[in-house]
Amino acid sequence: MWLIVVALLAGLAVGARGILPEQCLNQLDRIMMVTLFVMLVALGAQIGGNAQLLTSLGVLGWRAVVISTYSIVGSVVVLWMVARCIPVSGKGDNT
Amino acid sequence: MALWITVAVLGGMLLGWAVIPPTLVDTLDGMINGILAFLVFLVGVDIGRNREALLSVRRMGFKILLVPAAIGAGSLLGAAAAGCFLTMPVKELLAVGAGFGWYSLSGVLISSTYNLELGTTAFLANVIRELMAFVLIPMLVPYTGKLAAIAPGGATTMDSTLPLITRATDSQTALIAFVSGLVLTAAVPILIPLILAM
Repeated sequence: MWLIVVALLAGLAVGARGILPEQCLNQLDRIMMVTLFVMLVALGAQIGGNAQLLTSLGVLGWRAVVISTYSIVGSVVVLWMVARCIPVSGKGDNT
Repeated sequence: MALWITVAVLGGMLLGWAVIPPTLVDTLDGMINGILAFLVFLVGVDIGRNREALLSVRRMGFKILLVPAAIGAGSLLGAAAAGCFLTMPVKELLAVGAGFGWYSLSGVLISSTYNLELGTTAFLANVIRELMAFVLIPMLVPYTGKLAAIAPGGATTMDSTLPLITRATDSQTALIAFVSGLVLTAAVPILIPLILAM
């Protein structure tokens, strides 16, 4: 698990210091995209190869809808309450 | 983008179901771990090199960090509240909520470090969050104000939902949304392992 955190911190350090050559950075989006798609196909393959999981997709989908709905409501309510403490929010309301 | 993501996952599912032998499916786990670490490293590079965002935090002061803090705290509180309707451990609810709409990372991260069932749930929940954000952000502006309207976007306000936010609000809110998405994006790979280790 810590591999992920270490990877993120290493990336932040490398990015902030600008160690990587320009050509590398120009390709960053494309490299990330390809990596992402390889990973998603692999994730799909794991799900597809798991017969038990396939039969429970309906239940998982329902859970997903409930959790995401509540997460969104929670985030809007808390940010709405906090927003009045943030000075910049007022200045932007000029429409 | 969302279409291609769905195609990739469905294509992978078809491969796993019909083509790849079960023994090979098990070895996918290690492979995914390696690719995931590489991707998170790249995300770090992308965030780290963004001096514009760092400068805007400095200009607006650290109060700007209240925005991602509020979105993150609200998302986790909401996910925990979903426990009233679902028989799932709070820890699992929080881990799914801590994806903040970043479905690709949260799904794979939870699958590889916890279990595939929760990872799939996280993937679906965060895809749904992003899709709902596209619909909700413009709708919320008149009711909650511009700033609170960006909350459904979570971590996606630095990329996929940013163009929409720019149109639905103003450039200042869009900049705050970008910084907020950046902070939440960096928080996902830290929070999820922490929550699952509870």
